[in-house]
Amino acid sequence: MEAMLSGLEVLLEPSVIAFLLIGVVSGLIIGSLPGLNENITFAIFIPFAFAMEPMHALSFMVGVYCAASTGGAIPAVMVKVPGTASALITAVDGHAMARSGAAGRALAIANYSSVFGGFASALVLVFFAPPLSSLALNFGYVENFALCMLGLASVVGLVSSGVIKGLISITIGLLVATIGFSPQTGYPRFTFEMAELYGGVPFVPLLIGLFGVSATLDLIEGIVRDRRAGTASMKLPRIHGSTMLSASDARRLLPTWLRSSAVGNLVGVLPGAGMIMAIYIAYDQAYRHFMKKLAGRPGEAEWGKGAPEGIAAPEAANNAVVASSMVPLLSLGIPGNSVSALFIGVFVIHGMAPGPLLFIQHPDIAWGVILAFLVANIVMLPIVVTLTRTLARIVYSVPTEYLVPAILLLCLTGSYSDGNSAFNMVVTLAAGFSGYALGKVGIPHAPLILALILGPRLESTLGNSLRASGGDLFIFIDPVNHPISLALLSVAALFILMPLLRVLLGRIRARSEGTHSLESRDSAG
Amino acid sequence: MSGIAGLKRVGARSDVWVGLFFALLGGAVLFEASGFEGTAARMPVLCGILLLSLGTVLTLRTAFAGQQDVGSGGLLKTIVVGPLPAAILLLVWVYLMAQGFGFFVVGVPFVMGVVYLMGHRRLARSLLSSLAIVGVVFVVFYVVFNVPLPVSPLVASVFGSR
Repeated sequence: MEAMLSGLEVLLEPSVIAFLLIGVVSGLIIGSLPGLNENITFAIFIPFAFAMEPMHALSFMVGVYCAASTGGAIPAVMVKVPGTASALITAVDGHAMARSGAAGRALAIANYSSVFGGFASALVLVFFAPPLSSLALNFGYVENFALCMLGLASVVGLVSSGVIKGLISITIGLLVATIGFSPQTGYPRFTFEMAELYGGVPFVPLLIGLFGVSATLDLIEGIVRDRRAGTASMKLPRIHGSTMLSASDARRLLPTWLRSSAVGNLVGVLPGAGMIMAIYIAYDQAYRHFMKKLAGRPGEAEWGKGAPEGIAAPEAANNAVVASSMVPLLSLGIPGNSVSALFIGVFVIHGMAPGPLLFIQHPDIAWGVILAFLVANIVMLPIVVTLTRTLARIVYSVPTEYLVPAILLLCLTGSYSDGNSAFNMVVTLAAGFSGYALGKVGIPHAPLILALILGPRLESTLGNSLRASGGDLFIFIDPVNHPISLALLSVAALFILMPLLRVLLGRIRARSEGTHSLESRDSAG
Repeated sequence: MSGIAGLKRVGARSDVWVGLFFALLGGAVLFEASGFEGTAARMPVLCGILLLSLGTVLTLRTAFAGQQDVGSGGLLKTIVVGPLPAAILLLVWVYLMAQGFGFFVVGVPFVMGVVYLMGHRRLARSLLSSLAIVGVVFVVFYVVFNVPLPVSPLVASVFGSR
């Protein structure tokens, strides 16, 4: 309670609240620009954290993170181009509703749903992160190793591009994490006699490259593809009506908000699951509810052609992932998704490491960050309602041909400013090009980032555990002395085996269906 | 003849080459890590073995899966006219910055180059906009954040040297 109050005290300083508000507005603006996802938004703003006080930087980034996901809905509704990947599905029903002359209502549903999801997620963070961190404080080397393995396994089990490519991505991350002096013997590895690499690959420039530069190259590719295809630009629909949500809409959407927020929160706390999975599950749930209870009513729009639930579900779910993805980061030091991994960069810049020790070493900062998510979602509603019309116009008027070089310039200058080193820019470029190439061959980025972050911890906990056991690997699955490690590793094994089991079950089902159809054909014959 | 055609079909599957690349990378990592001392080699060797095995599995699985890549030709053309020239511009920009050329001197042509790549052809507007973009980034980092960016003597005389 005392720590919570000290966090509240830090957060309520006028300068901290001011940075939070600036973060919210900046996140809304950048997030609402078509093609700029939460990762690019974060990569653009990370360099600003160098020049700020720790709590200023963190509250600014919290504001950016919360608002970027919300802002993504604006271009999705107005021009059917999602500002962020998380607004992908919102574009379907949102734009259909806007085209039918109810753009104000569509934006209101998107904004209020986002804020509801975000607030629910912040509550989950408040109630779950501190007790989980207390539990994690009791973990020894063995349990910490098992925890890292669980984090890595969960991300492999949840990536859509297949287990092998997920594992390759993890291995690359682990490999990059070994560059520099060995944490146990001090032996230099893969440094090729470059003094800059002795301390390891600089983390923040690497993140800026992987997220900022790589995603901007993707953006360039998209723009060039559209130009070659001659995609015509759409006319911006006029915003008729209020952008405030009506009481009847709020009553109608409450069950969808609750369901979607629950889905988003559950997915958010799983490392590597990401927003997209939450959105699809929530959208599917909303579809079932709509078809069962609302479809076919007089005056009711069809699903996919302006159904309010089709906007509310993905928006509530994607924002519900935001703060809940910070639960594993703040309590266990394992990022819930790629943006929360970028948060580590902000902590690192200010000499801190997220995880259970943060609550012991900097309780005011830990609680300040948690409460900042709550406050950001509260202040976001009036800001987004006020700015929606302006943002909708900005979305349509910003020329992307100038946006792309500006982002690249910001990313590279930002990485230079980390220690004023030209080497950092080289790292950013190398990471950006590699990230882009990996994306092209279907190797996901999320496992790589997670492995990069967990690599040093994995190596040191493995080394210390083996030293304690005299090299006996049984220590990790010892049910008497390390039951938690055994449990965590069992779940990790399940995560790895899950996709394989899914394939196996699918084959068995297909075979049995084939047998049934053959039998029925025989009996009919 | 059919054997050569079969090999060509296998070679057309991009994952065959991706797997092969990572298998070779794994081999190189193992070779390099074999010279590391004691426990320092543990993690790199593990990574090398994993990359070698996963790359091999990916190659073999794709080679025998019988799936064909589709539509990669269009993507390649898009990359060649978009991201590739942008990557070259980035490399040149970073190289010149590392050589100590001024931020404006290098930044303005870089922004203009990317703007041109994006399909914008009006030179005067492009020049003015590039100057504005580079100017804003310069003010934020050099003036507000005190980052000692490389600057020409003229700029240093106006904004002071860091």
